[in-house]
Amino acid sequence: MDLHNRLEEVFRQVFDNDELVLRDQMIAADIEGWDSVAHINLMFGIEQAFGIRFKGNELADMNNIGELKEFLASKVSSGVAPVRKVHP
Amino acid sequence: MTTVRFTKQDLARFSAASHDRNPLHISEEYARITPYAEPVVFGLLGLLAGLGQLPERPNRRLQHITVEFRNPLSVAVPYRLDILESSTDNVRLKLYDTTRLMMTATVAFMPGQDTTESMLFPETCCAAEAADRKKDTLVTGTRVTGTYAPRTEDFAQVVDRWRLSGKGATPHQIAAMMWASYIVGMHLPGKRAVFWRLTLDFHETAAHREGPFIFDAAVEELDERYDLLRSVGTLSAGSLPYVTAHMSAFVRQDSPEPSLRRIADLLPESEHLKGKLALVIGGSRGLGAAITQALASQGCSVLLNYQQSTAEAERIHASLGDRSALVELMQGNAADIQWCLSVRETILKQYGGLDVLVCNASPPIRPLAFEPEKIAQFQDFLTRSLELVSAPMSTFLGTLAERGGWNIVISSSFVSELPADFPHYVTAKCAIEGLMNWAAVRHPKVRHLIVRPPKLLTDQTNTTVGRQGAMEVEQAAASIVGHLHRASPSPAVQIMETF
Repeated sequence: MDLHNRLEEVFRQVFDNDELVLRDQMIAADIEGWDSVAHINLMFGIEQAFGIRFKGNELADMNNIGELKEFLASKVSSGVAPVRKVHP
Repeated sequence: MTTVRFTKQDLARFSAASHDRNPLHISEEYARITPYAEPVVFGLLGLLAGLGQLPERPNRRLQHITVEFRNPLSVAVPYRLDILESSTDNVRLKLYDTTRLMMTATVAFMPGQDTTESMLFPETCCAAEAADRKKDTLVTGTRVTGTYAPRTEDFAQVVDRWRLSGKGATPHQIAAMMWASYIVGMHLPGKRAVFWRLTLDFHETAAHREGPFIFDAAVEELDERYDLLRSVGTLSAGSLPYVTAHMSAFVRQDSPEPSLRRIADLLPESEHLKGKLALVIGGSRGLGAAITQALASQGCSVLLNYQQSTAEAERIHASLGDRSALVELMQGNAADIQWCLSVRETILKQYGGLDVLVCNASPPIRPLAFEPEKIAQFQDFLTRSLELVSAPMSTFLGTLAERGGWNIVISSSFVSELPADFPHYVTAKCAIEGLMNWAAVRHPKVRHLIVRPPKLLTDQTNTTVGRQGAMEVEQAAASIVGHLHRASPSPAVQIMETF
């Protein structure tokens, strides 16, 4: 599964919407239910799926889904992100 | 459609059965000063309620559960349960409050129900009171060990109430779920817990039937970014592991209390308001308490109104030291016009009039969907919000006019931000601002001030998420009180949005 699909899967689980389709220009306001609680679930969900760790509230600083994908691509390919143990 | 609803009795029974006595779930007094304002339903009780709605599952037992408690469940609310069976042995449960997802669980079953499992458990000694562990004590490796068994009589009642027999969760597996609630609610982290996520992996071992279970649980990591505690534990039957649990819970921080010293840093002590009298409606906690402190720091006499928070009101009074003589506590319901009238009589008799009215009180502010099913709560919130402002304002505008006094209401930046989950709050604050606009025209001798603070750090926002970006109440209070002796007279209603 490529990065986009894996990220889309995380979003679908967090926002409880199997129809959700991610586009690079999407922002938080485009996704129904993206409140502060969902934001934390999303952050932990992405960390778990990609084996990365955000610094502080780094996720909130990203302007759209495209930026998030670029960020994830750089972390995953560079291998600089500390991978923590992921529970099933 | 399947609906589940919880009662206070359900909470008490689950608490007795599981030995999870976390006060967030069973003490109204304790829960009142948390962001949830009322006792929260045990997350595991939500899961058991869901499992009880599954069809009969002969010759099956649980293999794995992952459950996420997305939002706190409340008593008396009808929750919709969706059950999605992807195969005979794999089920997904989702609990909704109208459209809001409250809990989601994936459950896997395997062959081999142990029909001989008894619901009689031995008596064992469990913690009587939830541990109060602060973040800095929850270091990796912090460990709790002991024996565990649910309380037989109450356990049977829980199983019966939620019709759990024959649904694939054996009595000892239900006991293991209760144990996870006990570990998080009483030990790791204990009193400050807000349970977020649990995975349970059941081993093939049949549970030991003689003595109690033996447990060993330890902190894996405290994620400092969001105060999320991850723990792992094993419940064993004799020497054989029965279930392994991975538990994640947020660790709530202390309730924020306003600091007089911090106010003094922002607004140096003075006698600018000496000889003036203020009535602060809702003055014992949060912004109201900080306004009380700030007014007294400027020499103003303050009548501090509160309804239930006697201990908090007394703490604010005591915090004022030399200036505590300026503050008088007045317990009562400001939404009650008779109470307001009796206070006015007292004020006129003892002080001759009122110079500052601060309407700060509000009903508890919880997210609410704007859906037909929630319209009664929406309307109730509006009524209660308006009562807390309209009753005192109608009572005191006359005496404020006689002394060229201030009429201050605490509104919110939400009136322009319009957050999705707070339609009731936005509507109430807009209505209150409408009343202020009317009052400014009809009572031009009174100075009218609408305060629109951003999200403030108070009991109501004191969650892992809520604390993020919240302004300290001292800063808002210092700005409001500083404005009283700096502002030039203005016939129009003034709006404060910067602090």
